[in-house]
Amino acid sequence: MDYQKRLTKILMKPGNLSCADCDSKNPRWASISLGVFVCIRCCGVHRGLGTHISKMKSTTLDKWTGEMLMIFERIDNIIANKYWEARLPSTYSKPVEGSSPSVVENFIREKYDRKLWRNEGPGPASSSFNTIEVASVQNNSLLSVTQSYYKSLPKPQTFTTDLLSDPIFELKKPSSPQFISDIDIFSNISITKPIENKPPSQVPEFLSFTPLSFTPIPELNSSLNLSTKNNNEKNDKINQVMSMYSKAQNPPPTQNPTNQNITKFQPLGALAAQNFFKMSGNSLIL
Amino acid sequence: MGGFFSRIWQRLLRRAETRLVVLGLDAAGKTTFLTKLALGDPRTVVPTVGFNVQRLDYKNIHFTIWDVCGQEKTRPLWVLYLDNTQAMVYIIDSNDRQRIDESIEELDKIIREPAIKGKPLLIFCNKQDLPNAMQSEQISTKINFADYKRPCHIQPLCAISGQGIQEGLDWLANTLKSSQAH
Repeated sequence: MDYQKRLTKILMKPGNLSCADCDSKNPRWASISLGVFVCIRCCGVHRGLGTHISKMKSTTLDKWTGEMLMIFERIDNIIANKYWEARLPSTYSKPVEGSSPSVVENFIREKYDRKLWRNEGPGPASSSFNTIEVASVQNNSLLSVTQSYYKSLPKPQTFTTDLLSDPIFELKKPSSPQFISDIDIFSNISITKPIENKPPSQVPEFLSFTPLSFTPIPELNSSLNLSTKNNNEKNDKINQVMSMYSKAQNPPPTQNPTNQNITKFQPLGALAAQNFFKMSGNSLIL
Repeated sequence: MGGFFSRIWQRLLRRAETRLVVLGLDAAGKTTFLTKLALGDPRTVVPTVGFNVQRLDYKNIHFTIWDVCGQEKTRPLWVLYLDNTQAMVYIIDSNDRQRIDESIEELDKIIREPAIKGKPLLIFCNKQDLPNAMQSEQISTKINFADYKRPCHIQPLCAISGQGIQEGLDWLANTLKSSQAH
């Protein structure tokens, strides 16, 4: 299927029929680093945030790559907003199509720049580029998911060496315990290639989409096997989440951020982190 | 009486309109630059689909400034805006380090067009206020000015605050005046 058809199909998803930040219909601009489709006005605000926060692409005026499509085949506005607006108070009135520009701008800045309502509690607040990167890898956030795909694109001039020498980064050596157990959760979300009944030790299929060839890292896999054994009790809970998620259209738990949303985003995030480790030099892993 | 003299004065100083085209990748800040020039206040602009035009008098030069959509698929249309252009302004998003090379590639492509042969080129390195912005000196090392064979100037800019706009336009005005004098 060619890119245009895939993109049209993505835009037809029920979640993508209205702007992620206001209720305008048929958004035609996408933030490829945040994983949302927005209207042209909100796109203007997103651009104002800077490309370290939001990279905008037009669905009509830009050429789309396979990697971009891959992200949006997995993420739509509903999924993304469950993440970005997990702790949005139910009394808060989101901007609508006719809201004033300052209201929209304020909302978007708080949502993506200050990350007020993200589902994992207040992240380390910092405006510096490196810290955002580190934080997102640590938190397995959407940002890290999408950005790590972009790290693997043909122009890899992105990660600065400062990042690697950052002591915070050392803390998060490949140890994400839920890594394997979460893979199956994701098969509920994926549209094109459902990954079902994967034996836990195998590398998930969609990693092979990245241009860099992927080889399983022995240490990581063994540690993951261990962790799955340890996490058998957790699996029941995760299965619960899965079943909830497959029933789908439940509203997100807005008031109280539980583990549910976090686990939902873990697989891609964990993989992203793993992917990142792989690409940013084996020295981190070994 | 005063009106009479001023009319004579204006006739003496009358110059043809100077056409200026502003190019650059999408989200580089072209429209923000133009809005700042025209209205003086920074505001959030929406992505340009098509182009914006603005007239501006600066240092006795009547500029007509064209700001063209920089989205990937519309870049081949840039050529169509170059006819009768006296100078080109190229804006680079210094904060978008991933795409600086892409931006310079596009510049290399468009600068070869015969329509703007020898015409002055002003490069703005925009978004210098952002934390990750690349310094203009660093960007200038990536550009092969010798190949361009024209007056070139690279200028750091923060289009929102307006810092750098005046310096850039001063250079442009002086260069245009000296090239017209010859």
